[in-house]
Amino acid sequence: MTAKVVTVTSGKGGVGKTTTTANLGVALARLGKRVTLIDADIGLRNLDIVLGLENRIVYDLVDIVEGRAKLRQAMIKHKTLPELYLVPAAQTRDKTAVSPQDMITLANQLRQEMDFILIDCPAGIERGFRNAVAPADEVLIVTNPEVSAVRDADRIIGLLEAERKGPGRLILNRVKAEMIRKGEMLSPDDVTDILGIKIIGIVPEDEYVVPSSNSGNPVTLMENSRAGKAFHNIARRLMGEKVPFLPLEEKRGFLQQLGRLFGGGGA
Amino acid sequence: MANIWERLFGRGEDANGTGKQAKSRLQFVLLHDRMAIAPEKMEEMKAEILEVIKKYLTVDSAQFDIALQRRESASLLVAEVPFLRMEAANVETDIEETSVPTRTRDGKIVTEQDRDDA
Repeated sequence: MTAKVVTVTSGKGGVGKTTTTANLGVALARLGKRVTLIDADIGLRNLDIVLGLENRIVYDLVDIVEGRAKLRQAMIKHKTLPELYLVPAAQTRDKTAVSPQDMITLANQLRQEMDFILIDCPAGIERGFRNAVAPADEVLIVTNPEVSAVRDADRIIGLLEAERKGPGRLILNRVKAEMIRKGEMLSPDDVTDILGIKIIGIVPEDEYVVPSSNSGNPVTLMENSRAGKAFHNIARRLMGEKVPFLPLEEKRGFLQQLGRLFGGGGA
Repeated sequence: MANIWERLFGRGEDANGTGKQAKSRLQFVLLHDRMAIAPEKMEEMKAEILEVIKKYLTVDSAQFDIALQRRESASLLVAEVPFLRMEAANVETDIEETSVPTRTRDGKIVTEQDRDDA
């Protein structure tokens, strides 16, 4: 069995690529898969801090590529999930330190030992994007229901097509059901309609996400997080399971409906 | 004050909400983004294609148009060519306008969503 290489990309920054990569990694590891996460965002390293592993870095991606460290030496083991590893990005170099071929070689070295290799792609459409996409067997495009993010996702879909890595599957992140109900936000159907690709996950806006990155514990580890549940389901879909989409909103009880009547706000 | 029933049970999608605007604005801007070539080049190509078609068909030049569309796995250059007659342009009688229906958009994706509209 050889690993599947999945690159998480978006075009636009700030839509939740790193959060998505971290959470899918954690979710897959909890489902018993051997997972390595590679942070391809050289110069703007963040996957380490989101995973709570920032203090354990000795070597990084560029050290491996330039031969100062063996791949195994640079792989950081997660604190609680023994089958989850991180290859951190270099913080003091730039994207040109690594080539697409380097990334293919690196991924191939790991394929025999892993079930999944997830690559966190930098924002933008330049060298860093091509590096991250080069070894991909599948590409996930993260976007938000917001015009600029959807437009950039479309650009990425076009580039993936040109690189013969398309069409990829979509993760719609930071969805606010209340706003969709009011007609003030693009719905998942609207976005898939516009972009013309399949959707693999709909992640609700969730106030657990910020505290989780504050503490370095991805939301997938939190029992009550709806975003965490959504990431868990995406991981299962990546494994080929058929998992129905979560309802966008939790069922409202009568009292909550009354609260809505008088407060006019959300639950 | 909003309708009490609306507030109690929630309302359907508001046809005047900005979500609809977002969708139509995006659809428009993406059509242009997807053309990797400059607008002048596009016009040039359009004129050339039109010249070629005119050799074989009587075309309503004013209505002729080309555009880029995306289907599930490919981008397509779609031409809309309203022509007047099939044969060479030497018979002017019995004009029957026909247009080729090329603008179907079948890139629509059906998601197996199980949404709760409560």
